[in-house]
Amino acid sequence: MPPGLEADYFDGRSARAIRVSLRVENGMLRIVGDALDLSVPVASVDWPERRSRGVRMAHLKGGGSLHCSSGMAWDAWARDQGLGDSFVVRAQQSWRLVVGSVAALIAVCAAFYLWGVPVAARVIVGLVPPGVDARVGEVVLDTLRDQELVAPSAIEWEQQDRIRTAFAEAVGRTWPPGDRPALNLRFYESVLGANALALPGGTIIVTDDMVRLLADREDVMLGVLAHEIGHVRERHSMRALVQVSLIGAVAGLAYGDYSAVLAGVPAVLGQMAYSRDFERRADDESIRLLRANGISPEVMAMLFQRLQAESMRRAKAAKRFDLGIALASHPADEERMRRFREAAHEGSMAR
Amino acid sequence: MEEVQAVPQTGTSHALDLRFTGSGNEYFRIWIVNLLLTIITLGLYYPWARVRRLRYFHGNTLVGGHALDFHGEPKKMLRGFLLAGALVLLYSYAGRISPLAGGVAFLAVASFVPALLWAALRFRLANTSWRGMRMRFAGTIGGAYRALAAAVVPFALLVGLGWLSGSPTDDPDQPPRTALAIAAPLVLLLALSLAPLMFWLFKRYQHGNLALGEERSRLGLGPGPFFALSFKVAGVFMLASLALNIGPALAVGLEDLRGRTWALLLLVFGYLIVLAISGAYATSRLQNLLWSNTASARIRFRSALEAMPYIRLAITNAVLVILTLGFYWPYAATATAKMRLEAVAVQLDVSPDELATEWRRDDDAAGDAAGDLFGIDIGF
Repeated sequence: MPPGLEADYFDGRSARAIRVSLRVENGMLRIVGDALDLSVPVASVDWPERRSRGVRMAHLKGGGSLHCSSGMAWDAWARDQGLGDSFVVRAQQSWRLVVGSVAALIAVCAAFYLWGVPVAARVIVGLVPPGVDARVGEVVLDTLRDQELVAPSAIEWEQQDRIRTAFAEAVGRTWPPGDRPALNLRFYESVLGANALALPGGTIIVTDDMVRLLADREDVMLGVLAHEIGHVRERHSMRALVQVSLIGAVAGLAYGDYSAVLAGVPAVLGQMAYSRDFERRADDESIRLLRANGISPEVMAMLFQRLQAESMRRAKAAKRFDLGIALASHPADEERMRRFREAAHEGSMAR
Repeated sequence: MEEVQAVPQTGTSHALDLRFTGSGNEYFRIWIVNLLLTIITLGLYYPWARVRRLRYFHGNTLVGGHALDFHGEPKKMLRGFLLAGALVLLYSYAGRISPLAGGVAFLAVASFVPALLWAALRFRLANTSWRGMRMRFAGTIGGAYRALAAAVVPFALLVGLGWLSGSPTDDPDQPPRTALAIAAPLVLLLALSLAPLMFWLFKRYQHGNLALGEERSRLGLGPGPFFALSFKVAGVFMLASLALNIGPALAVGLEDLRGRTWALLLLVFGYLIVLAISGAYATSRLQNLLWSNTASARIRFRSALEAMPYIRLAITNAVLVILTLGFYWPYAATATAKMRLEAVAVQLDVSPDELATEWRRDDDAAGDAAGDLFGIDIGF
């Protein structure tokens, strides 16, 4: 019979250690020491996991425990007794599997980020009743007002009405009655400069500067509004909210123990990347409306040129940091201009 | 450490030192494998990962040469996590539906918080053992409500204010708004100035009910030092902010876009460092304050965590965690645990073995797993 493993037995009621010898016989763990002879089923013991150092502690049913200060002796004994490691323990102790885990973790995060989050957000938003969008939209609008980012419009009523009517007609020519989005166009004077925003629930805000910028080009204005309608139709704002929450939750799981501020960073970065995709989808809707109304999508180039000119003028005049929220601040202007131009060429070829 | 061992063992006094033997390399391997499992199971594996982590940290914490042990069962903890998760979801969803639903949910959750804290404290201690003996949290659920009752006043005022400001008033000149504008900062100030007192009440409850066998701790400390500490922490925060953030803050006003972007990045980075500095200062001072004043009839603690080395460690950790996108975190966690734990020493007025025979009579300590009922584990 091989010599048993030396360990300390604690009964769970006193702090006194009893020196014991451990042995496994016929599926039973036998614990023999000074005035002590216990036998418990191997399967009932909560065995410790193998590690590279430190003590090993096994928990017995009923509060007792076994401590062994030599991890190596315990591991060798456990191996001899046929007590195997779980896969997780083997993975934890193998640098090869650890490197594999790092790679797998990065792959899972990338897949989650590229496909998982957008798909999950679409599904979740699909489950949220549209009434919630309207409620969130009101809160956003109240916030904009409270922080004095928007103020009552200085644009004349007739001009506002003209834009509303033209847009309603253009929308009518683009989407069939059942599929037509509800229109709620509002004009505000705003420090955001020439800009348009789609709020959850369907309210579209157009700044006075935007109206002035495109005062002579109703066709371009229709394209801008159609872009915002695209955001409304696909509930992009709500999806953005859900996406930020999802990434935040996962980042919190990974880094939350360390720093809540740091855990918030991936959510912000992630949102910046997703918003490009949203802009593309919204531009598609814009192209759709322009085509349905016999306007070449190429007119949108005018918008980007004028916005660039204006932002340069503003930068010189105000030396202020632009609030990157909506249309005017999208970075990949070149790419978007190219899309509108290509759409225009495709359209003319098709005709 | 040397000082502690130099304490003369006169009469029946025994000094037990704390040692932490965990290694960053090994914890990294455990962390990464369990993080992967947690993520691919959409979080369901989290309790298993947490148990492994606690067992690693407990098992590598040696008090007088004997390791601590953690006995929590992942399956029971999963129940607790699901319960807590459901509460959080309910709360955040209710807030989105309507302010009224949000208010009701807030009250419901707030009324549960003391019970949850009590359950968590009980669970953690009932599942921690030293030399085979389970610890205990002797605080009552009523005690938790009493300890947190003071927090209700400013909270209620804040919620009331939130309610008033949430009601739609289109006319900005209406008197309620003006009253609100004056009342809001006052309430915030009140809440802020009461924070150290509330914190003291909670800590008195927590540190006044730690139990092992017949020993039961109490916190021999009034609220005064907590107020003093909160002023010092605020001072450190302001000094660090001035030193680190004023340059980038001015540079944000730069003409050049590239320079501005860099200044903004530096500002965020500097803010994280300021948080690390003031957080480390607060942690080290608080640990010394709390543990040096926690004692039972025959067990005393002494904590001598020096602020400067701990702040240096916190800065190094913050920088490396950021630069490695989080992969340094296990190394940071083990280094932090080592410094914090090894600053503590335990003084027994009888030999551990003598205590052991007396503890023998205590039946309560063995199976006090009432906290298991909830399986709620919140880190403190």
